[in-house]
Amino acid sequence: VRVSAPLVVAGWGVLNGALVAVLAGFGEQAAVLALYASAAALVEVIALVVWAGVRRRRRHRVWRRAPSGDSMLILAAGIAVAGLGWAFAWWFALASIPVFVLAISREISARQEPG
Amino acid sequence: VTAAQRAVLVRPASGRSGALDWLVSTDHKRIGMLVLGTAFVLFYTFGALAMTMRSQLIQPGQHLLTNQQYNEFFTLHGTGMISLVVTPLAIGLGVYLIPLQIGAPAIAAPRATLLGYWLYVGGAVALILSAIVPHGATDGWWSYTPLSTTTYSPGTGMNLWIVGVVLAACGMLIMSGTVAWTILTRRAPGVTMMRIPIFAWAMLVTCLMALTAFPSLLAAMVMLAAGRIDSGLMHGNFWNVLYEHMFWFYGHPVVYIMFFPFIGAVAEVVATFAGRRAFGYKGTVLALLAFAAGSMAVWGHHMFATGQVVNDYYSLTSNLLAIPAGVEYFGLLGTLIGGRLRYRTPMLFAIAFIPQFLIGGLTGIMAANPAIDYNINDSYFVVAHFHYTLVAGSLFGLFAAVYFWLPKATGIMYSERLGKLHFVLMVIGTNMAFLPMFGLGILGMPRRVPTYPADAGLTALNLVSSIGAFIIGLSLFVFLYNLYASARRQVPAPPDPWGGQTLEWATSSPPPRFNFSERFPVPKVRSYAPLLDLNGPPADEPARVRRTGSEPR
Repeated sequence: VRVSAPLVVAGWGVLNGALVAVLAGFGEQAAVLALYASAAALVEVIALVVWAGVRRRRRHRVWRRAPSGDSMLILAAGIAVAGLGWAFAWWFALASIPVFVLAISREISARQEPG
Repeated sequence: VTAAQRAVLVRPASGRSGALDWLVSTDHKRIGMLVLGTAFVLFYTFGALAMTMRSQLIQPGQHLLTNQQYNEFFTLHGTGMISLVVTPLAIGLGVYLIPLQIGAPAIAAPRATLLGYWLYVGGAVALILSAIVPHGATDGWWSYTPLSTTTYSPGTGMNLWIVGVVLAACGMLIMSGTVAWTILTRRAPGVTMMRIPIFAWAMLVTCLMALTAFPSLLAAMVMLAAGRIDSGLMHGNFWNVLYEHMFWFYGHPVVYIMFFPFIGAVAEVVATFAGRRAFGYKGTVLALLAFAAGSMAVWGHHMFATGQVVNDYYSLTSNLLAIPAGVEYFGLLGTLIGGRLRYRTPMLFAIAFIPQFLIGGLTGIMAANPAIDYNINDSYFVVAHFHYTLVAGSLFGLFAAVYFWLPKATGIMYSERLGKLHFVLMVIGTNMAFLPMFGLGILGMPRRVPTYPADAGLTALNLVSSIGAFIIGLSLFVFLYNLYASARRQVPAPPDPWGGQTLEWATSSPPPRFNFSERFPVPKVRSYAPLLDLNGPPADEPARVRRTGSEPR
């Protein structure tokens, strides 16, 4: 059997699904089963995405150089400031707005770089 | 160089140079080094907290820290070591190594990977703030409700703790996604799934566990945040127990996330320094997948004492984990037996990992039995168990990896003499620090206590444990000095100083921007040890180890 990437992920999800089924047999609470089953289902979704990704990659096997990562640094700073706003006071989160604007502008200019 | 790799990168490089270029670089090697470097700085920081706590416990009745400060220290030490140190070290190793090991010129989604790194840094800042502000977070790394609601934990410390955990988890989630995507979809031609190295398999299962477990942590943090906005939400038993379930659905797999990459690294180190192919490759791969799936099913053993879980299932699944763990051990021992062993520093750390991690694993099996767990729950026995897993196991695996791949990443050789001194001190310190804790737990010392009575019979074991902790601290300074001295000496590392078996050893040290080049192409891959196929086993002490380096392969 050829071991393909989506098969590995899907198989791992099935293994998790089997363990959920056994847990159900032991009479665990429904909310807990839902938590575990949703994780197993998520693995199957990931397997589908991988399957699509592998197919797409077969057709377009091209590596592109990533543009500068400035906007990612600024975006993370904006998210962190917004989080601190939740921790301290809501008005603190307002400081994240200009940071997000800056991140978007850097992102636009990064995507316009030649290449 | 493959056609795909030639197609890379027509976009010109950024004109920036220096530190800023590093901080916003989309080169996976730089991002990996940033993650590993940041995690190491935080490791020393949170290690200093542990030293302070051990100083307090070295004798009974000491008060270096107030009770509130002690609680803040163990909360930041525990949360920090898990969320900001060992998990990032595990994932960061994958960010650096995976594209090299599968013959790819870059990581998939490098900008998302960079975003993951910076979210992790934001999480680190928030978590450190959570201990510094008045009313700092004091509820331990799991922060159970209702203790962590505003009724019992007022102030901003706990809020900052939640923000820090969420940001760090998001960062790790993103990086896990890009590492997994790289393994699954970006392998070089010829690198089939059954030809990727064991380390890459270990990283893949690690990332799959992260992708399925971390969302549960995020959901738990949302629940906790809602509970802090309206503490009435957490008055019912259902929500408090559900919080525990959601937390441990992340909290147990994260332990495996923190050691699978290192067991993968140990497998690479053992195979290389035994001069032979890793024994039982297919069995080890299957064991990793089964181990990872099983580890998602055992979280309830952390909740035996609540009386709210089906003990039989969680005890059964926890005990069953001994089977895939045994298969992995069998693979490691099978590689060692009959190999021509070379005892370089990475090999010493790898060999010590095997029995020490076994102690952590076997005591875990003990704790997974409810009858035993009821007696040792929340005692120092549990502290000893998980420190044997994460320090005597993961940290030794990490140092095996660091010494193994340091010449590759930096292009310079380290001092073998200092490396061995580091190893000896660390073996002594680790076992002195954590072995007595089993005894302390059996004698009834609860975890998270700032002091203990002089007549409780705990003094001698605490003294030994604290001295051991200081020896670990000393060994870590030897490691730092080794880095400093190596950076000063600048002994150049050849492309393959050890006779490595996987693709990263086919390129220069350090690797070029896109990993492989015309001068260092991706060799033909026919198995999971392609360089062994090409070159055969290394000589006992290969010429390529000598200072002057050797011709590239």
